[in-house]
Amino acid sequence: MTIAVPAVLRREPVVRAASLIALLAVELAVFAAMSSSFLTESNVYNVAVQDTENGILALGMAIVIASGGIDLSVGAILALSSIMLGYTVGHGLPLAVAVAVCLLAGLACGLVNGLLVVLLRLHPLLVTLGTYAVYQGLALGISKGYGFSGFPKSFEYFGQTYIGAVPAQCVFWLILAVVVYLVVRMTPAGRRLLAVGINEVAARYAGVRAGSVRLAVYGTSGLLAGIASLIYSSRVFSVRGDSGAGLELLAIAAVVVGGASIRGGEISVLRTTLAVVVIGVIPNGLVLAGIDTSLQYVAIGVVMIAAIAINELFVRRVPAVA
Amino acid sequence: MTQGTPGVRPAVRAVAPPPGPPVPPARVSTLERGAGRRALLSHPDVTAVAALVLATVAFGLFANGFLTIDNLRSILISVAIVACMALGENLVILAGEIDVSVGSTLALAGFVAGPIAVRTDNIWLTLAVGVGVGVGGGLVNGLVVAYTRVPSIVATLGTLYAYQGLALLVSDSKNVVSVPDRASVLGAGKVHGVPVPALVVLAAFVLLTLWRRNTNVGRDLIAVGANRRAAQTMGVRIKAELILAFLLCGTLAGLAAVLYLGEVGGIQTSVVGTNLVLQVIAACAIGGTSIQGGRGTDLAPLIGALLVGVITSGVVVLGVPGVWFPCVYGGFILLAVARDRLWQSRVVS
Repeated sequence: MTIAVPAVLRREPVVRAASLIALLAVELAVFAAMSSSFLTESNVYNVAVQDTENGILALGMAIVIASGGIDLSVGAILALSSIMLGYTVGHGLPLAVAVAVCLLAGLACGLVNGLLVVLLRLHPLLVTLGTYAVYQGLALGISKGYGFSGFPKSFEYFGQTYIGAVPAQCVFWLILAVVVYLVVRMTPAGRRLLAVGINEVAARYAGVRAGSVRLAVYGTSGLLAGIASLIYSSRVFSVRGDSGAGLELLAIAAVVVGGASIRGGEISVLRTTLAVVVIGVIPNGLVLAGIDTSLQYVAIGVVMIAAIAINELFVRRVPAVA
Repeated sequence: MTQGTPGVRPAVRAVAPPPGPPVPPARVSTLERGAGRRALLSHPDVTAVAALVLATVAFGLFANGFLTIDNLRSILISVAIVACMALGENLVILAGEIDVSVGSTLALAGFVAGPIAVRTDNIWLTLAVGVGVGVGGGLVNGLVVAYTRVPSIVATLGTLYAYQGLALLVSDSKNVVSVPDRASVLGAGKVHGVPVPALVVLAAFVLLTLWRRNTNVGRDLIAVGANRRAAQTMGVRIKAELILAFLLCGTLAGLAAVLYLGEVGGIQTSVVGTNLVLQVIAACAIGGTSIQGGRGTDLAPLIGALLVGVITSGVVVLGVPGVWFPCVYGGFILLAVARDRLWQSRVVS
């Protein structure tokens, strides 16, 4: 009576990754059928380039969510770091200094989030809601609402050049993803991260300094937002105080579509990255197919709820102990 | 939904008085020294009310032109939309969930009801359609949260995108402009000099408070947020409570859309992407409702929204450039939540 399910399909991570790949395959098939220019090399790179910033933000968000928190401020951190970048360059300092300032600004913003969460033991949703507004205000205030675009030519390196045939930022994205993967899977720090996310009290009894872990988590998220802002500023070659609006929600969406529980304790770098692509393909495919791009939001919403529902369905059916 | 899951433990709220030195039985009464003060302080929105009074007085003294009828009236108008949405969001937060889709619900309701208002110039029809869309949006949220295992922040993030897309589709990327006078009475009208939107919000508040205080379903809402398992054991219908909370939240977002149409005289596609929802959640938190659910009052969202409105207006009158507003505003959110923390550690131990 029982259908023989291959052992590999009973493994939860495999099922989850496979369902995402299936979703992506369906998207690719549909969009390729609707437009001949969709599955071309240049368009594939085009999608990858546009997804890079969200991909990097989603890496940070995956870590934050794995620790049981959430970070609503990453979009604003991206805006503030890019403004700091433009501000430094605009004041005649060398590009290397500006890049350092940009990354430090991201890290500092993240650490402030972490300190508020840890020291005041505040709910991260509210802390980052508050700092979201503060960072956004600082970005607008420092730039006085004006944009900046006087970057030197060498700044193109981060977002407009190619390494071999591949856009440079995609290589950066890949490297960061691999680093995060290795840290999460292979190091004690990764174990501590998940321990805090699964049960903070138990983790503390086991000798994990939960506060330090949380501080590091938000710092990392901020730093990754700083890196994303560098790539974004280089790609569009200008900075504005209101760039990055809404990216925080997209990053959360990617992590969640990737199947991680919003309650923490789970992380998958591979699935998060797949989910970024699953979501990122939608607007591109719709534009090429000549469909009203308003539909992209409906599609993202539907894909999100569908992906989570499918996940829950599969995961519940798959016996925990085979 | 959150039972037994790590990370989000249902918080047990202490109803008992704050721990103090043991008192002899003869002196156990509300007249015990300091008991009244502590009872007052354990009211979550007292500090917000105090801050509101303080801010109003301070700006009245130092910002010339703050305490004028015109300025106070414009504060009421500017606050009405966020306050209206926050009243609904507050219910969802009290029930221990969150709804991040209210901004998109407003946009969708606005773009569906807007053209009807322009074409018919009939406020009742506009109201029915706008609120109807809100009810629909809220119901979908409620059903998804109650019947799937998807956490509310995720489910409503999904519907945030879905409603946003639908709003843009319905709008055909065109703004709704010049809503005629009769259809905009709820957002732009005045009764004896008092702005109608403020009266609408007040009416909604009174109705909600009556419902929450005088019906079992209304009272049980806070139990669902405070300790869901205990509530279930006591026979509270968790699913019904959740669906109702989300439904009311959507309804009030729909109502806010009708206010918006009247006040602004239309609705722009640029509204769709704005983070109205963050202001709404901030209003609840500033007013003193705990984001973890189960603790807060119905007054909190109004006080929170008013406080933000007063601060914003005061800062404008003082001549601070507009680009710094988000900063001031974010600082307030942080202060408000920090206060909440300091408090809990003192009052609830």
